[in-house]
Amino acid sequence: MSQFDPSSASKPAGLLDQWTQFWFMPQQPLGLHVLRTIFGVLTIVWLLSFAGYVQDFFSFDGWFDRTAFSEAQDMVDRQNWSPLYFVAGQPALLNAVYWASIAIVVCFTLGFFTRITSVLTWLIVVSFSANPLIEIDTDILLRIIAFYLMIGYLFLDLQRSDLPLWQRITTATPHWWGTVLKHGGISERSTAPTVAIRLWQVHFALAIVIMGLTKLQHGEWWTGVAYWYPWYHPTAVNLDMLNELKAKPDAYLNFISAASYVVIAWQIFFPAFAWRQGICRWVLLGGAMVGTAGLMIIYPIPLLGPTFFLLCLSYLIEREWFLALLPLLRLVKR
Amino acid sequence: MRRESQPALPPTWVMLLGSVLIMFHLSCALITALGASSGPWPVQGETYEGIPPRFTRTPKDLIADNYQRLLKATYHFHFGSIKQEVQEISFDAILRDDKGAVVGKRVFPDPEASSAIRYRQQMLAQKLSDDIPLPPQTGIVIAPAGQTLPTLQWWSPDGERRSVLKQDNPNAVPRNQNLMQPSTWQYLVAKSYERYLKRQTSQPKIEIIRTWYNPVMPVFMIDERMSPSPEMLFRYQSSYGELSK
Repeated sequence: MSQFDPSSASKPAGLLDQWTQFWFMPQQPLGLHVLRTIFGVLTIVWLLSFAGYVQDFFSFDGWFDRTAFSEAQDMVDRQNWSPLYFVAGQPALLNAVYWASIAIVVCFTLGFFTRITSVLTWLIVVSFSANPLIEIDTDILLRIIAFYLMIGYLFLDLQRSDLPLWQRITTATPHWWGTVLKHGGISERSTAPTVAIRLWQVHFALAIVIMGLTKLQHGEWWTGVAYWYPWYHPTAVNLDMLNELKAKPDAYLNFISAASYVVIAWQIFFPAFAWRQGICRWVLLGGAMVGTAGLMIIYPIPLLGPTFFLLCLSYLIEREWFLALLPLLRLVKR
Repeated sequence: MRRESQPALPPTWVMLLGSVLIMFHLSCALITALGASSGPWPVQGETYEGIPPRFTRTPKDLIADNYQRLLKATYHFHFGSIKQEVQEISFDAILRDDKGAVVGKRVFPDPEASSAIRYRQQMLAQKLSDDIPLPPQTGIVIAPAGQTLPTLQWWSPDGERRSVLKQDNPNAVPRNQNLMQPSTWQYLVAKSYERYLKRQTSQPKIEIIRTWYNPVMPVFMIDERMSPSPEMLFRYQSSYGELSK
């Protein structure tokens, strides 16, 4: 296996060197492939969850109809354009586009024609998240991931000398997992995955810090009772339950208030540990796992937990991806 | 494992151009995040949305918003789900025939739907929250010659923990009462859903009834003098009536 050891690299001398190495140091695209695959699976599940409700959600005769769109022009976020609007008035075509979209995302997930399917996948994600009535946190995060994966795959392999021109343009099969594993995860280094993943990392770090700071604008987070509300919403409790809680409040309140503050601290200080190795890696991945479990248990927001975990995985470096996939690569080699 | 030498960086012009694009893109993301409203903050007994910092306004309006509209990749990250202390809202749509007889009912969120769909339905129902105060009406309003008085909406009490939406001119609004009205967005969503149901069911009359519960405040856990009371779990209902009659 041929691998570049970052420890053997010359240390960046100044700010300019650090900048160019951070943003442009070519890397193996293995990490990008793994992130693409996990994202693809999540997007397929996300799209399949609309099955049977495509007309309700996305048609001009659906929940938010053509009249509502025109009445709400000033109120709806201006970013809500969607290629789906071209077919939103034709139910049969809308259904056809929906199922074709799933097929395209499957191709992207498997690694076929990634230069084309990455762009189409981004268009699909922005299209099926454009209804302002039902937008959830997961939709926003998936849009960001789809955009950066598109950047990565648009420019990946453009300069590969070992591929014929048509394959370089279409990237028909080189990113299919069969091909990737056959070559031990090794491919030609490229700056494209570095730029795409770095943009993803910086954007997500910004998002996490803003989320932490936004929590400080709400009394329930300062008081440490934010996690009370999703557990004890009014239709899930009765007076007996509340009286039982009242009888021994300390352990429960101590736990949820401490948990609230740990979450806020993890979010606000996220950039301080996300890019570091050693113990910081455990803070990142431990927090990602606990956060994912918490999101899945506490909040009913579909796919938010796995999407959050995927976003955190983007901080793994090339060596860590190879280490994580070593058992699989060895298995294929046998 | 074979070690490689340090891979070559791309040409300088690529890095220069890339750096400019990266800085532009991330600056737009930052401006969007900083340029969002904050709060709500309590001010003199009421709550207000904090306005964004002034320095973000021009770059946001001129550049970041337009760029964001194109890419759909930037967001201010003040997720609505961060606020936990919210009302729990559901609604029923009562379907009536042209004689007014009830012929069906739709419940939202639908307990039979999958969890992913139920959550989307919950999002729709939550859009029916956020009533806003109706400014107090004083004196008698007379319409200018050749014009009619504007129509106001307000929630009028209609039995215990129940209200109905009234629509009339300002002179019909009860005086000396703190009345609430649906927000423009809330009303628009309710009407849109009513139209959708009419198309789906072909029933001529549909009444949307909103049900909500206030959040169960944990203050009784913190303050020893307080204890849970039945009022904490009261259910409230309000009917939009026939929205498009």
